[in-house]
Amino acid sequence: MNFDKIRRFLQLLEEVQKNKATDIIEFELKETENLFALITLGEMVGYANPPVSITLSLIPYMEREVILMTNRAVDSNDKLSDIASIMEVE
Amino acid sequence: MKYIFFMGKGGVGKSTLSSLIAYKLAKRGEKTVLISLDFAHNLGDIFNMKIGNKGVRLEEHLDIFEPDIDRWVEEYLRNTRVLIKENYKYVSVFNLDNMLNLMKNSPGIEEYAILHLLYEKTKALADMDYLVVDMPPTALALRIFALPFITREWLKTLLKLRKEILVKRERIANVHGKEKFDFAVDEHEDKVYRNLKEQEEENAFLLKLIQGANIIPVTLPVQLSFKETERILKKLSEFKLNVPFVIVNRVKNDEWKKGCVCIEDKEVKTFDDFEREIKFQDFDNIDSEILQL
Repeated sequence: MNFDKIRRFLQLLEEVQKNKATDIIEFELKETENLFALITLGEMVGYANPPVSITLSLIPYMEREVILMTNRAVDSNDKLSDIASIMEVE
Repeated sequence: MKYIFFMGKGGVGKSTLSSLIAYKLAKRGEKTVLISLDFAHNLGDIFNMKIGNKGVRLEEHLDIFEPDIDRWVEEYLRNTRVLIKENYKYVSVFNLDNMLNLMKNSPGIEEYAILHLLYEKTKALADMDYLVVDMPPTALALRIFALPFITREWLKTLLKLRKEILVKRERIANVHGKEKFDFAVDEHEDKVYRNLKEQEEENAFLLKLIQGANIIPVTLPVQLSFKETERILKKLSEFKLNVPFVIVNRVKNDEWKKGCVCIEDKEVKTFDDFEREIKFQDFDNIDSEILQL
């Protein structure tokens, strides 16, 4: 019984450590994916765009990025809290 | 396969010349494809027959095509819509119908459609000897030639960025376990990366085709047409494309020199010179010969 508790505690600890280890990479990943979406799909929000052929060919495979870009647009007023959570500022 | 593109201002005789050349090449025994990439096709008018998308075999060695570019764009957008619906869990993330309707008239779509048609035709007819292309008027033709160069640079940048994304994803997946994420982590799994590579392959093929082609500007012996030809030559030389000579149409001998500005640094040929150049033997009554077909 005690072993179980200890194991669960260690698993939790491991999970926390893993999350800490990847928080910054995950933030960077989201930013890079968002950048990729803005570059390829930017025409829809008024950015300079690559040839429309590239956009049209890619768009069927970019649901993740479309959702990310849309969410980023919604959260765009709250960038500071995004960064603050990465830096662990309460 | 050898490629010959005829380009120039509207009404200078691109279609007539490309038809004549294709016809004569076929008569010489070369397996020739003549294709019009102009929205306003008139090969059918020249040969006095309906040609259309599926094409016509005019002679033993001559196939002619007039692809329906508008229809191709519509089909392409319809396929894109189907692919989006297949691949997206939440199609409602954007207004699909509105976006695709907008794309139909988006700048660049015509150039892409024309290049893709050229790609498909060239791949399908790889065993032919000559592909003679009747290009649309200057502005669109130059944008068509420029597109593969621009696309190459964009694809290079996007592939680099995508690789960065995949590296970051892999790092995260290594820590947490791949099964926890629904994103692809390597180049073979990632549909976006694969699509970019496919585009790169098609674009490289088109670039090679254009860089290896002979592009022949056609002009009339009038100042306005000469001025435009000079601009064409300048643009084509920026991309280092091969222009063997310029044809001055509707003149005999040296008539064209009168009152015209010479085209700098470029050998100018008359229609007759061009005939001699490719050693056509029986050119004299070619117009009437073709009109009788």
